[in-house]
Amino acid sequence: MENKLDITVSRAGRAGDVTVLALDGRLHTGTARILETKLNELLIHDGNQKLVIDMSRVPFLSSAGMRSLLAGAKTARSRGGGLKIAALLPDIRKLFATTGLDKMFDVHDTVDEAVAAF
Amino acid sequence: MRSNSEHLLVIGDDKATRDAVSRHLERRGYRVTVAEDDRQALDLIAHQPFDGVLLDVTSPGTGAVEVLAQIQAGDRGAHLPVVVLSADGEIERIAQCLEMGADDYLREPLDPVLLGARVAATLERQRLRKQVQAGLKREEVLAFERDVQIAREIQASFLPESIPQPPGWEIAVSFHPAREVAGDFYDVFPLSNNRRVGFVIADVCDKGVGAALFMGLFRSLIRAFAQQHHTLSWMDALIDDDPVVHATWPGRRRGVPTIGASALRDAIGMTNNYIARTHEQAIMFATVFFGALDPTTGSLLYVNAGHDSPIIVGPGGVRAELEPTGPLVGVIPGETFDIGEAHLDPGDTLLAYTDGVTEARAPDGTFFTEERLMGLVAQPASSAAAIMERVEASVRVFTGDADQYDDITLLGVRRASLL
Repeated sequence: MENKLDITVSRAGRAGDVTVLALDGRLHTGTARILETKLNELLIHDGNQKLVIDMSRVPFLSSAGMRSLLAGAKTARSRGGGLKIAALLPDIRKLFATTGLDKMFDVHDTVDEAVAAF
Repeated sequence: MRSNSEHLLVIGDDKATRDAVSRHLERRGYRVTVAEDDRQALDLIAHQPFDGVLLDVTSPGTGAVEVLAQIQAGDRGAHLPVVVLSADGEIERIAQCLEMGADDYLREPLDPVLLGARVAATLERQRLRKQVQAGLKREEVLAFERDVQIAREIQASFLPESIPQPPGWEIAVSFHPAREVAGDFYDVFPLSNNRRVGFVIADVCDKGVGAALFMGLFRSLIRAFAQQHHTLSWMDALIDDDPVVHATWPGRRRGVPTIGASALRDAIGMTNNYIARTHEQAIMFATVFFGALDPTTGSLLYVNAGHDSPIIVGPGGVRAELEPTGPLVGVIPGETFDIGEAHLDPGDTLLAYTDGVTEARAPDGTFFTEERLMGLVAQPASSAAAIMERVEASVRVFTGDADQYDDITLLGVRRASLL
């Protein structure tokens, strides 16, 4: 499976203090490390606290991908912030419901809603 | 004479010697670069790869011995073979160079045949050294592959050796591990004083040795907690109720009966708490389906913790999908897992699977999908094993030459048709 995941980082929110990560690619064992590294860089190194993950271009999510999202949420919470999930594609939304991830994460229909929820 | 493409560096401040050595070596097919002093030599070594060095240590003014030390101290020079040239009568300096690691020496006046032979022998020794090092690397790779193989064998030892077959029932399993170690497992064992048959299918997150280790832990905890409960199961006969309070999960049922219910819920709940609390930092979780079947009536109680819904198929096609009754196991401590209830009539088959089936990929990257699985399962079959073989064959054809990314596990439970 292709090990390519593009991550575009932008700022949002009225105070510009929300970091939006737009993911583009399949999130699985081969690409989860890319996301983990980016999340650690943003949360630990750069000191960001409020993250929104834009999932609108993630057509596949494996358990390794779930792990990286859970790890990011945990790190964000431990630093007084949070990680919100936005714009899940239908298959992934179903997966979130099956696994209960929709109850473990703050999930929003759109990036704007997720940003506004902080 | 063999054709040489090796690149040699000739270092020396005496032009006549340099030229003579270069000419002889070039005639033998070597590529030659010359350096007049130590600075130039070190600069050249730092910027291009050489196969060997000829170092003229005759002139005391060049600090030739120091050059040798510096060559050997550099990244590229450390393994560079060095042949020392020296005028007659400078035995002590030659000895010093050999002690420092020079590979061989020649005395002036130079004999072209001897020069060629010594250089060739030195380069040959270097080639052999490299081969030995490459061999050691291969050894390391082999040792790693042996470790993976051992992990796979240990993992296999966590699977049950035999599958209970209650009269009137067929229980079948199949397990195709991916090349990389992954974390699927299944288990079948008696519950509640043999009045129930417990069966588990699960998928531990991610891949690799970490997943394999946690697979062993999940499997052992679930079975141990379920059977620890078993020792108290005289209470099951007394406590005839496990009321369910909320109904937020699709598979949730109210006021479920009884035997095996608390064994199921406690086994999953306690495993969840153990993993989530004890291994909080690891963030390791599993999707688990755990069923407790009453072989006398066909009634089935289950916990589906975030797992792909098992399918119940009867003579008329798909009858039910056993949807989740709780989230995946191991993330949130204190989570409650509710009991679902289903019934297997004569001729019905329950098929549970892991996502290695539905997410099997064709060479063009498309998925096998749940729809395709449903289509296969819905067709009539004479046994659970026959349905599973049909699915396996279809996955094999679908994936073709593509790599198997994930473990593929199937578990089938069939109630015999009435005669």
